[in-house]
Amino acid sequence: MPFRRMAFSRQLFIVINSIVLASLFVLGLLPFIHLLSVSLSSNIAALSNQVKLWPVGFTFEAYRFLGQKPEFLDSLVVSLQRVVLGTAINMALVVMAAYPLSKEVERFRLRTLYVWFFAVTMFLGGGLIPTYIVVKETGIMDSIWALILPGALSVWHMVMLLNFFRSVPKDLEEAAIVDGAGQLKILARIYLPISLPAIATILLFTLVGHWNSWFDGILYMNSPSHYPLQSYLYTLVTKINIEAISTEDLGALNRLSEKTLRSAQIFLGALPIMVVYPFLQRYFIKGITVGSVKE
Amino acid sequence: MKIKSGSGLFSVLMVAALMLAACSNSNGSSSPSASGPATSASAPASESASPSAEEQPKDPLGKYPEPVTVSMVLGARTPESKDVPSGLTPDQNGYLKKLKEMTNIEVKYAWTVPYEQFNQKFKLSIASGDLPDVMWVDQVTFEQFKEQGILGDLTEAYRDYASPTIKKWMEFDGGATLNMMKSEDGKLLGLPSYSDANQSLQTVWIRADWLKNVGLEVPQTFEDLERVADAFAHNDPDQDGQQDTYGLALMKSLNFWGFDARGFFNTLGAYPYNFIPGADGKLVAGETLPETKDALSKLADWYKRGLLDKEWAFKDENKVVEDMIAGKVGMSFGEWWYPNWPLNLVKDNDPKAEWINVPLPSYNGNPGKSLVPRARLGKIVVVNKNFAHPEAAIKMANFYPEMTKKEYNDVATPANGYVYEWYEPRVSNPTEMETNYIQVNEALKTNNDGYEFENGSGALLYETAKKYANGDQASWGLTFSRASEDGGWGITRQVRDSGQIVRSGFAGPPTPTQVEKGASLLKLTDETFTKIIMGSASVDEFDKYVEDWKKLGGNDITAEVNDWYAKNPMN
Repeated sequence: MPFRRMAFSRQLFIVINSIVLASLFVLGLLPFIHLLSVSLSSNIAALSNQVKLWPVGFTFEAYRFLGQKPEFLDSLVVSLQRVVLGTAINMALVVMAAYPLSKEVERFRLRTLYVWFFAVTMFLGGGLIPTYIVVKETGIMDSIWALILPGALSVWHMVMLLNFFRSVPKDLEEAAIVDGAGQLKILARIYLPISLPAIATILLFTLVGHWNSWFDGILYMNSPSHYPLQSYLYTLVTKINIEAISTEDLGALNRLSEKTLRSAQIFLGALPIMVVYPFLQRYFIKGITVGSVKE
Repeated sequence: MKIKSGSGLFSVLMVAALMLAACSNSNGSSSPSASGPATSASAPASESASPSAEEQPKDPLGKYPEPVTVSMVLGARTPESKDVPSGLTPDQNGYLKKLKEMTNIEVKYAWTVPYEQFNQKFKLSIASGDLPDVMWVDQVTFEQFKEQGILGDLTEAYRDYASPTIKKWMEFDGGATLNMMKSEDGKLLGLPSYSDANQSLQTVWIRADWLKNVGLEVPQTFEDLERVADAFAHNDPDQDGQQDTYGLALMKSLNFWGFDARGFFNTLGAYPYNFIPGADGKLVAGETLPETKDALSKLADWYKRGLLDKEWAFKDENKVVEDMIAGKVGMSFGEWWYPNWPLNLVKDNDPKAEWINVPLPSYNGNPGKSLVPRARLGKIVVVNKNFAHPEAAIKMANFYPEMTKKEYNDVATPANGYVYEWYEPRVSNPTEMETNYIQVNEALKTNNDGYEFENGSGALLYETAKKYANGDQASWGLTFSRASEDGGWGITRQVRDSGQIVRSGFAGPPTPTQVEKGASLLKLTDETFTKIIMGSASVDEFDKYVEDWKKLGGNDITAEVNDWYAKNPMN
């Protein structure tokens, strides 16, 4: 409906809604613009806090220096590996676990037991040190698997998908069975396409989760050259813990003043995931089950 | 899953302690295999070699007949030098190759993490039962290891193998710090790295160009200082026609490593956050004394008059430094190193900026006396008690000072892959600052390029100071902090020699009550002091605070601290 022919209250709602959303958008965007401006400024301008939303003393120096820094590129490669491999494994496991558990108890006798088997881990974790020891004793320490396997199945995502599968009309499955499809085919040809919004959401969560997590990298990697990007970035932004300053701390402090370099790395670190968002966005909007079955 | 330092780490520690107790048996059996076949192979060899070793004096850097593998873990700092070959990893460090060549000690890192992450990873790996052979730990960890009985005895290793250089450094403070490393029964359990406590001495850094602009002299008394702060805040010291400056740099933590209020308190004879000897010879907490109340009321007054930044209570060190570089503030209390950072950046941004260093001003006719801590302990070299070669740790400590000798100057360079930041254990030289100062000034006066400097860093400082004398502004920071007679160390040693200092009395590990209640008491102190300064609580709130502080554990802490003090009197 064209804007002019709407009721006044509707118009008002649209205007206010747009303003609120637009300001939220700006609020989210400003830090990135600031970060980008700082990374493109001269270091001394950045250090004296002159840079707001436009570079002062424009220079590509930080990015040029970054190109020669193997640590940044190495960790970027580790991160990409982790995201591709980790997301693929996570998605496969989530789908394969959620599908059978979405069936009724009559069809899957031990369903309740299995659900509890998974659910219990949502409330009780092993704790930091036992988890560390498990990773160590299984021998995956210091390899990419230490970042992927401990969190390979997110029970939370599994429950989400399970509930989505359950909302799929059973008539669809019955019709497929009548047509002679097996369970694998039903999953692949009916459940997955119908569940695209849920799958896309979980995919995005997993992707972002893998990209953003830094703590396990620091925990399980035995050398900084194996760090994923966020673990590496974390080491750049943490404050040095000083009680009484030593000559070495002075060197570290001088390096902390490389503000433009730090901004450039953080900006580049956030960029890939920002690029992915719009592409997954369109799946969120479509609810597909509507109209598939006539009651 | 994710823990956020603080309380999280503490619980890790608790578990670590339990795990260690439980694992002590398995440790014994697993350690020989962990330290590798090379060690066990060499054990018989060294036994058979021992008679001959007794005949000749034990060599601080003597070469083992067979390779000795030493497992270690490393918190690697980023190398300061830009010449380090890119892609070099800590296990390829030139110093390690040289160590192997010289002594046949082979260092194996079980893991390396960036320096900032070291504590976290170390505690986890200890908790999971991995104890390296040689470790480089802080005082708190040292005390825990000592309690748990997992430290090896270094008494004989130190006596027989420590090099004359290392022994000289340990004697710099009369062996006081070394003695802190001994167990109840007199065994030496660690080799400490410490620096000259006078490095913590407080002075005032002032922009001389601003003083000139507002027409004031260098402050001699607290009242002078107050006038300067007032003029810096209100009389447009940067002459840009705008009211955009304030009087004194101050960050949100009143007791920090820079830009804090220690110097202000000390000027007024107040020593909060420290235990100082009272009139009866016992230690008393500076927080509870009337001088602290007086200083707080002065700070509140300064805040009300706009001499402090309105937002000081929200600014961390980076924000304060931003203000200094941007030319918003031209005075700060602090230590000798400021020209090295961040005053060098202030000059980069504004070449007109000129900084001077002056001793704390006098107050009510009494000279301002800076606090100097009793000890300035850095890290401690310890060995696992199951490690067969404790003397290897001492040899490794001997090795680094050896490498700073002149004959290695051309070899041990960052460009050749020698990264000193990655070499541990690196015991620091407590005499370095003073020796370099004296020698560099001697060489400068006689213009003697052939001077035999005791330390490699002395020769470097001499060259830097000469560059600065020839007009190189980039050399100002290093020169003015360490070599200039009116600069950082120059003023610090002048104050030291005048004796206008107060020594803190307590240098022990945190007492039981400190561990239990110290954090909440500190919070109470910080909150009360901040409120008083910001004017949201009256100064008389201080009296109630002192009562609370004593009741909530302060009295117990004071008693425990005095017990320690009775056992470790100051000489």
